[in-house]
Amino acid sequence: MNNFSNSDAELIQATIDNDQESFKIFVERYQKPIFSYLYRFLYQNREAAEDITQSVFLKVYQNLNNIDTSKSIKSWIYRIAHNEAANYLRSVSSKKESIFDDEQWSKMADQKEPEEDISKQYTDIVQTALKKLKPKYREVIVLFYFEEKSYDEIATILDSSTNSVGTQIRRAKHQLKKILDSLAPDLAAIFIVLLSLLSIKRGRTL
Amino acid sequence: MKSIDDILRKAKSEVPELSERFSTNVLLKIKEQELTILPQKIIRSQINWFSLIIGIGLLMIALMITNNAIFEIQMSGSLELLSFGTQYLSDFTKYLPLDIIIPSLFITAISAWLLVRSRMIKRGVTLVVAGSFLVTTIGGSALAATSLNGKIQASIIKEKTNIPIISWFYKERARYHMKHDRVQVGQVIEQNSQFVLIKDPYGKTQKIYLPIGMKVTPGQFIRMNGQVIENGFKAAIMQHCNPTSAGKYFMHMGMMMPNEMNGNMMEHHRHMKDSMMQNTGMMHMNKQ
Repeated sequence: MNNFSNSDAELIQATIDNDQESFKIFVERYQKPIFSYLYRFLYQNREAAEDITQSVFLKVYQNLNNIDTSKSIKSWIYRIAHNEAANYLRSVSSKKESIFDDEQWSKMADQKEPEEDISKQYTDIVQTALKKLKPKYREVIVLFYFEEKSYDEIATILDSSTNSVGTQIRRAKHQLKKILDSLAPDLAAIFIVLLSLLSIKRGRTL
Repeated sequence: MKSIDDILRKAKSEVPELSERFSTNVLLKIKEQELTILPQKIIRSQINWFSLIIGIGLLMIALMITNNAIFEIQMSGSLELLSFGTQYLSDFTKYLPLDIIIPSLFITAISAWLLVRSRMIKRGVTLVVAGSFLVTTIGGSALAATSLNGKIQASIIKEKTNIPIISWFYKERARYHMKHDRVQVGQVIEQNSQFVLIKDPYGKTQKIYLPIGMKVTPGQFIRMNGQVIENGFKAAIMQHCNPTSAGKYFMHMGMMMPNEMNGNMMEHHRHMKDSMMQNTGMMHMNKQ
């Protein structure tokens, strides 16, 4: 079954026929979701996410003749992005560079003014906790909760089974809960206060 | 208390905008690096299908080999040893056809690897590997439990068909070869007040002294645990065998089927018995 939209197929064919402008349109169609996924997966490192998004589209260009027509084009590009991100994480960890910046965490711990921007701090705390997750767990969380992909789509992207994706998400949530529980007591307290304030604030606006 | 799902859904971070010239930069990079569209490779899905088919094929071969290994164990007569409890467990293990079992395990492992590599079965590696071994063992056992092997063996021996390896296996390997000083198996030919004459699966007539009170009738298959004595075998324990499985031990001897003796065999037994009685009589006369 061909899952490509006609325009995708036309753009790909035109690119193969040496029409570079068609590939530009194709890139513009998919650059945003791919960048968004990489940005969230790669610890909100804009520079890395942009570089990898670029290399993803270079790979896409080189492999236009070898697209697996049994899968959706979007999932195929996501799959390339997943592989590129995995390579990047491997290279970073082999250079022993810490992706998770402890300083960032400490700075956040000092932010004890919930009235400043409740929603932002709430997001930051969860994001910081997410940074402590193993990449494989972090990735499924990003794809499912932030990129709003279905289990089937995630399974295609990760070349795994739907059941396995479900298991990974369950384990990821379990790990995340543990991380949130193990946070410094003051942070845990802040987190609870933030949640309550957020609820109260939302209640008032309603 | 908020659930972790709610927390995660609300924690979606903002994503900055990509630079406006991003797509242009991609095209520039393509030009700079002189990238070209690679020619069409053999479609990956074809390789995957090939791996899947070869994997399944090997799994079926492993299943057949496992079936043969189980059939050889059944035919060897070594299972009779286990009928007398775990005391003969180590003797039983000597009859395991490891030269068949190990290649079967090896082929199963290769097929599991191919199935995983094919990526066509969307299950975890552990599950695919475990599933492959289960298919081989359960499938092989199920096949060995059917009458298929017996039919193939009968056809090969009776019709003298010659299929390389398969004929050799059913003629030479899958046959009774259990030998134990303390265990005897055979079919009752005759019983008198003192002893029983049995025909063992090697075709030899044996004189058996049964435990007191034990009665058998000609044609029955029996197994005994005891010891060899001067003029026969003294059984301490006697059990009746399953005629279907024990009958198979005689497959190589004139196609005798369970509970069924052909005319030639009966004639042979009669002749053996007469000569034995004659010898016993002569011995008595010599003593006198």
